[in-house]
Amino acid sequence: MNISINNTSGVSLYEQIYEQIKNAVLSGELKSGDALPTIRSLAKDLRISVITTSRAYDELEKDGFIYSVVGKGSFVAAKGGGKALEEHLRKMEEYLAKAAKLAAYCNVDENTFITAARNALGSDNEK
Amino acid sequence: MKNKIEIKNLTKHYGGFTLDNVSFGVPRGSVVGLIGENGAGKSTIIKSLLGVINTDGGEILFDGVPLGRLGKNQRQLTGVVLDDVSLPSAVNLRELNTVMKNMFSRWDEQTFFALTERFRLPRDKKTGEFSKGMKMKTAIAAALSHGAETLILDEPTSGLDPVARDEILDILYDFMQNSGHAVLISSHITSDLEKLCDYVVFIHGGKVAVSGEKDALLEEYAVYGGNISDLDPAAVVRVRRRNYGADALVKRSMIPPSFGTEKTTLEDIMLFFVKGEKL
Amino acid sequence: MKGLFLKDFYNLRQLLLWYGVMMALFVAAAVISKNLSFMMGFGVFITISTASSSMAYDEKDNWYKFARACGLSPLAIAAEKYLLTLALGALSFALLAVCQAVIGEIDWMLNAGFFAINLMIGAVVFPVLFKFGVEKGRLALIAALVAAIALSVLLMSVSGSITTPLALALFTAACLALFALSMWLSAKILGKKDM
Repeated sequence: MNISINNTSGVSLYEQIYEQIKNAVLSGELKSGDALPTIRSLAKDLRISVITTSRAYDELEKDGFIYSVVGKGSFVAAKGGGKALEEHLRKMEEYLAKAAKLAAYCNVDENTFITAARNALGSDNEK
Repeated sequence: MKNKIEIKNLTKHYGGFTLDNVSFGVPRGSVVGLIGENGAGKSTIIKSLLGVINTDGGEILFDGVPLGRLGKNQRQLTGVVLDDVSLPSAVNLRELNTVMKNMFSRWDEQTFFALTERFRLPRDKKTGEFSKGMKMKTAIAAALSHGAETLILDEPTSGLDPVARDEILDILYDFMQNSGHAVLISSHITSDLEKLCDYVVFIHGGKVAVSGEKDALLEEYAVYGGNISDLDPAAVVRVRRRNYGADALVKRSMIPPSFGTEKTTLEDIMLFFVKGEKL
Repeated sequence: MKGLFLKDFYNLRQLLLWYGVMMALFVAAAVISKNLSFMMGFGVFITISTASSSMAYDEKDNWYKFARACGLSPLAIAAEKYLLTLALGALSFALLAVCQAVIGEIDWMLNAGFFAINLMIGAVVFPVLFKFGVEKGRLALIAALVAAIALSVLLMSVSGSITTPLALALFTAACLALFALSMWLSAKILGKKDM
């Protein structure tokens, strides 16, 4: 896992950590069930306070990206959990909006658009 | 859960200086940084904690037990690094190990030598011939080798180069991998504390000027360099007037987002409180 | 306290070697000249001087501060110096007896008196050293040592004739009590000190 922090950016440290882990989960870089570093070893690695890493993990857990087991540590949550799903849906809608805009620009009609969408889903399912 | 260290209304009168009703705690699993300029009272607080000076008022509790009622074994659960190191100078590390072995009931020779190896300290040289950095590392190695759960360090990094300071930081992080441990560290080199500390207590003129979670403090305050009269007076904590302008330490939440502010550092907070004035 | 003895031993090893050599010379001189007074004087000197030298090391190293910070009681810290002195005094006592045996007859009363005076001087000097430090207490130290040598010469000249065994036993007991009292006082002084 590759996390780094920027002390001079306007974004608070715990947010930076939150974003990076979230993105790693969403992109599949971190897989469901993968163990995350303990809050203390991450704090040591990044040279920051354990309260910061703890806060980032708390937020990630609240939003369904990770879960914690007492005495064992924190792990990536199963796909489709809570906010992760929300995130994915939001991104999907975002892409669809972009595609729709392009379709309108090229004067592509609705049927052609939906066929294209079905093809995309189909080809994706074959993968 | 009890704090590892609890200080209540600590008071001490010296000739020209008074430590006045200082209160704070060191929670289990946390690192508390004591910052302040030289002479502010940090060392006085630490010496009081260690029973090395007599106090004029207040309570000091370790794991809920008053300092005066701690038995020898309980006292040894606290590791100590003093600013002047205070180890016998006519002995080498092997001999120091022998002395310590017979002073501490839970002395761990293996840990001690593992640490001195890690610090690359020579075993056969008298500690009196060590450089300041080497002496400090020796003291830290000793403090970590008798089963301590709490570490108290008084200015452990002054006079050390950045590499040595980083090594010590590393060691402290290792110590804190155990959530049952705690560290109280005093320093006027705020950049060191800025990384490691979970909480900071800022001492000025013998009193607690500011204290709280480090991250929260750094987010709560900001530095504003624009026109101070544009600001809500209640938002201005301290002002430093220059010849050609002024800077203010402000409460970030009370400043409109459009006003450009800079992130604070612990050093900023310290300087504003020491050299700044109220509006 | 064992750790404290070890620390002092390491600190003092050069000094003790030096004293050992000098004492050997004094012993040789005493046996040859059949006059023990200078050897006795030197014995007192070593006994008191060793403890005060160890205190000087401790002061230079800021050791008291560290020892107190580690939870060692003022009594333990003070007691170790007194016990060190007691041990050296006993050693001198034994050495004296041996020399006397070599020359002629062991004079137990003289030896006991000498040991008692050792204790008394320590009892007076140590609290001063704990209170003011070795540098400032140096004057007291020198005065005590001069008194020691004078007393031992005096003791030599009046030994055997004035003191009865009972009186001597009482005198020794009194010096031991004084020694213990001094130890308690030194502990109090160390405890009150802001380091």
